[in-house]
Amino acid sequence: MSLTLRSVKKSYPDFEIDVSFTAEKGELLTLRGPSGCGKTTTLHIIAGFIYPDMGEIVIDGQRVNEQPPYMRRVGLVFQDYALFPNMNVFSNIAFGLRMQGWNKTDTEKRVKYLLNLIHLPGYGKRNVTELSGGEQQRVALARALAPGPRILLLDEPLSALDARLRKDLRSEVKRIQRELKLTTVYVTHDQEEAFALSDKIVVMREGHVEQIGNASDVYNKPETRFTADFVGMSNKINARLIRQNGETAELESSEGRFSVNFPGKLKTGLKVTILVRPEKCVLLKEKKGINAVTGMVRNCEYLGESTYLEISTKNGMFTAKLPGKVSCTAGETVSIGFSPEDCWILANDSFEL
Amino acid sequence: MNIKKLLTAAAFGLILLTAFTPQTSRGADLTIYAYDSFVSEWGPAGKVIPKFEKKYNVDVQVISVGDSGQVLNRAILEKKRPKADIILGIDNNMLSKALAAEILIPYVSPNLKLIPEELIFDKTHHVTPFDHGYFAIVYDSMKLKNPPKSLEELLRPEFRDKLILEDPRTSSPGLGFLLWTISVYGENFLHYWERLKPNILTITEGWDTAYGLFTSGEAPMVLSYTTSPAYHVEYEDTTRYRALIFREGNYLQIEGMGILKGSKNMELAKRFIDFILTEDFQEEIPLTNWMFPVNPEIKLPDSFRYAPTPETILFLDAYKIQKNQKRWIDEWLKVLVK
Amino acid sequence: MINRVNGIPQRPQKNKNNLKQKKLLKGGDILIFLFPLLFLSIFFFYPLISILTEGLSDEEGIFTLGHIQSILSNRYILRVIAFTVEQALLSTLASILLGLPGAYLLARYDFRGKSIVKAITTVPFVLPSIIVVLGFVIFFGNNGVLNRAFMGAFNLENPPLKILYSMKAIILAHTFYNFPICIRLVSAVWSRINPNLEKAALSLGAKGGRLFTNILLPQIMPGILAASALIFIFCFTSFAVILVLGGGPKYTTIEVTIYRLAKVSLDLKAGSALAIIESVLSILFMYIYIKFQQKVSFAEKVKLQYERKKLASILRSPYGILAVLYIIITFLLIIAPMLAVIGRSFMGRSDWTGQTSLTLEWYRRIFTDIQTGSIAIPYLSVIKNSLFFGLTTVLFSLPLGTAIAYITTRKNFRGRGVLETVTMLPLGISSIILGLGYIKAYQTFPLDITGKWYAIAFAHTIIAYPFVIRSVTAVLRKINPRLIQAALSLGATPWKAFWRVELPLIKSGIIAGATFAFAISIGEINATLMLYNPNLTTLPVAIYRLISSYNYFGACALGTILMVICFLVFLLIDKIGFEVS
Repeated sequence: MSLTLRSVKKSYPDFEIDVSFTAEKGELLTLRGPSGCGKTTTLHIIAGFIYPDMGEIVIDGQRVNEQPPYMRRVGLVFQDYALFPNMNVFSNIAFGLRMQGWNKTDTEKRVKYLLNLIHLPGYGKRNVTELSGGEQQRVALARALAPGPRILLLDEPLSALDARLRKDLRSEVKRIQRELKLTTVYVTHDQEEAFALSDKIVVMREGHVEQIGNASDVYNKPETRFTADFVGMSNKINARLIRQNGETAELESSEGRFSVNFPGKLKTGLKVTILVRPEKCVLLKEKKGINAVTGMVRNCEYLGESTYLEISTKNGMFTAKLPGKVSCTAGETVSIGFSPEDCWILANDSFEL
Repeated sequence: MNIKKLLTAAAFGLILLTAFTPQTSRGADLTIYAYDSFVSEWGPAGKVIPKFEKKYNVDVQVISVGDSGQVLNRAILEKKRPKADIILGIDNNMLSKALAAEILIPYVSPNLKLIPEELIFDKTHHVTPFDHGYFAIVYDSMKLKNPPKSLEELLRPEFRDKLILEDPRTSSPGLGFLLWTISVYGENFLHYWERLKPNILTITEGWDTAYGLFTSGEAPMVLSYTTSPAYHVEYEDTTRYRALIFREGNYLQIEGMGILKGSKNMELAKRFIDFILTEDFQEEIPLTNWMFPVNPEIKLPDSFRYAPTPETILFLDAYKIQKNQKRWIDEWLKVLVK
Repeated sequence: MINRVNGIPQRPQKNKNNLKQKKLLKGGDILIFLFPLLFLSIFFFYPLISILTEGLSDEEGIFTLGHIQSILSNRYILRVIAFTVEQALLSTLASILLGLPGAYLLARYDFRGKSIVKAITTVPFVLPSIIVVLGFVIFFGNNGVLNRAFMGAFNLENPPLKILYSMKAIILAHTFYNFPICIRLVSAVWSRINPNLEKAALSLGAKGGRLFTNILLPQIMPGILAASALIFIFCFTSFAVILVLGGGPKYTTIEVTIYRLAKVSLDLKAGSALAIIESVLSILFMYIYIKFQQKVSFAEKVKLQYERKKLASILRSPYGILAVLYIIITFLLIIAPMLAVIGRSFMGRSDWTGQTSLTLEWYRRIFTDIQTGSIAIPYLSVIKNSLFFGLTTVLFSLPLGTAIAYITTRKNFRGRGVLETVTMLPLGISSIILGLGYIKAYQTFPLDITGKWYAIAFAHTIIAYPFVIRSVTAVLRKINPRLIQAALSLGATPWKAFWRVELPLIKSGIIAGATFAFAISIGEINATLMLYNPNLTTLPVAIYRLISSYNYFGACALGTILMVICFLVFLLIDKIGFEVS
């Protein structure tokens, strides 16, 4: 069952939602973005709690704009689980089935299947308040899955759990989603979680879609400064395009000359921003010709696996995450280099030289 | 708001408090327990008490603690350590209860000679009469064109839900009306009540509520006194409300007062009893307490032309009342509750 | 919010401080505890016990259950008990049913004047019952506004609506009094339900009635039960409503019977025996109420809040007609009797037909002391007295209620549950019994306090302080105990920590409690009537006196003043409550 949002708009006095995206059948799509960017609102539009002013919500080729939430067959999992405290585990999971009028035997069979699926067999009679956070979330997942939803929506389902549990449950969710081939929309704050799970990532900003792509596209090839910042591409160098040679672009800036792997065609002389991923930087003994910046060490912290280095260059602050232990002292001047495949160009990002 | 403001508020409150502290009552020379209407805005207390205070240069405190039944009970409750010197409002129907409780001391006022023998209802002189009257059904002539002329006519089906009565357990008119029916129907009175029930709109605790409901137009008939219309003539200049004299007769009430055992101001209390029989007190009774004075020398005001007196006066013997009251009321209650 | 760190909700952690062992109180705590205990012993338990022992002893003072046995074998009394329970149940049911939609509207919708609406709904709660009764007679009576309107419109001879003087009237009046309690308590719980529960249920296919019965109802149930228990207690011990609107001996409650037995027939033994039965039942309901109240406060931990919608959105929806209908009905029930009282206060009887006309006479009297003798009621001093007792009640009940609230929420010790119930007892003990107890216990040495101002102030305090406990407890429970630990670790003494950290945090509760105490004192009549002397006449007593001398108009004027005071006070509480949240 595919899900498409076509120019779905909803206006609020101080905010506007305007989103379009498609999740193909069996795809896990992640909504990413800072707090208040409209992720949860988008989920609520899909679920039917909010009716859009314009646009179309299409589930499996069928327009569902006018359907109330209880007709849409969309499963929902919340960050705070939202298990019905007045019911036990069994009744929680069976709730949707009861609403559909399932008979007793079928219901019991289905709940038993789901309890096995979430690895909590025999938990049916438990009181939901007795369960741990992880268990509660599994039950919430089973509850959402029980009536066989066409779409599964997960609103930061793991963020209330501790790190260890989060990882376990994450792969569990992935496994179940794959097993059931469920089209899923997933909201998360956690980058690692998003990358680990997603077939497709939708980056949102202030109510609109900033970029759509798979994990590696969004991470390695951000289209906007916002996306770049959001996925952690923090180093930016202002430069001018000199020429393009196949997939290699050569640029010039106050820091010197740079060579960047970039497939798109750009106009020569265009002012662009070079993005450099901090973890791909290396410390240079001396400044070489290209792909290097020089500056004074401001901060140098040994983090065990790596060393975090902050230098101030003519172009501003530059950070690098160097593998292993690197000895350097504040005040000393160093050079940092990177290879053409570890940086990227923001073409549509204007700046002042 | 912070703590400072909270404290300021508290201080402000304290200042307000001291400003509002009620005057502590001056130690009165004489304390009288009276029923509510006696001390009400238009009641006798405001007229007669200052006269007495002036005459003897004393300070009198009148405390009302409900209607006459409650006043008597308060006095009985405080029997061991009475707070008042005089209790006012013991009528012929309650007399035996008051005597049985042994809360009064007898006093034969020299002024008793001023009043007719038949009104001196307590021959043991524990209670001295100060006014009298007759219970009557009072009706609203604008609502009722064809009022009943007897207890029997009161049963007519057209009067359904048109009568307000008082509870004999709590009010003296209420008890008066019960005794009235007993004095007319004897031990058959329950049958009468059985038939009267549909016509009763409500039975209130006391006369004041009943009369209030009546004047607000809740029902066109109420159990009150023959003197009630005089009030409306005097103060509202209306003859709209009229009292009914019934063929079977109307029931008599005589109200009196007595000195409480243990009074610390015995002499002054006796002077007060003497005082109530004099014209100074008696002349105020008609227009304040809306009863007939016991002193026959008093000239009745014009408005009392609208306060009819019955040809047949009904009353039951105090001893008989004391003996049967509980049983009568229990039986009455059973009928009413059914 | 306790469970939020950096904006990311954390799994609720078990607060280890709650796991401390039960132990005995010690040191300063005992001191904090001693003051309320002493006060309650002298001014509540002693009078109460002295009246109750009356029912458990024979003439010689020897213990006997004879009076209780004879009460319980009296068919009339059994009937009374049955009726008391019956009318209380029906009244509670009616109040809850009428209150639920209001609770929903208040919890889920925003509209202009919401705080005013809230303040208005709270006024009936503290109105002296005689004013309510008066309002009902003026509005619903045979010659009331409603009936006259119908008679005028349809040219009828007789009043078409027979509401008063029946069971209907009792239930209607009780509903008027109590449905605001349901609105307040349930809307508070309702607005605290995790909105995701509703979303989850909707997405699972639940809708309409099933959504309500399966998901919402179980969530608001603790609120409904707490409200029901409280409403039941109030209806169970109702007095003036039954007395005037019930229509006679057929509809009599335990409270009225106690009053009759003790005050009218002076059968103190039987009255006390019945009072014991009533008190036992009340305490039982009290206990149930406290249990549910605790559940309600557990529900406070939910983090998310409903987004409130604009009221206009429901009015435009298909349910708009229902909402409008509801608003009209409640308006009629709650406002109309009050408006009737206010309207009547500007009228007087003018000509011979008894017709009424507009006048300011009754208000003029407030400022021009009409002296018809030493006995007349000077209106202005009556208002002053009422304000005085209101303030003293606040002054006494605040430390009392706060101390008890502090002890019962902050300390864990053996017998805490018992203490909680015991300190809430005055809520379940009728003021008739309390007043009788004062007369019985204090008419002789060592303390002769009847007729003194402090007797009334103390009685009011006893009646009012449970509300201070409730308000303060509610806020105290919400305070993160770590705040106190932080203050202590920063070098504050426990006293300073309380003064500087806790007190400012609970001030909203204290202010709410103070307002309740004030309002209760200013509306109290039963105990006051037993304890006052003419110099200490309060507004409700004056109103009662005016009604007794059938000056309904003057009574309405004083009633209006009373309502205005209550209304302002509650508007204030809501404004302050708003600031704090």
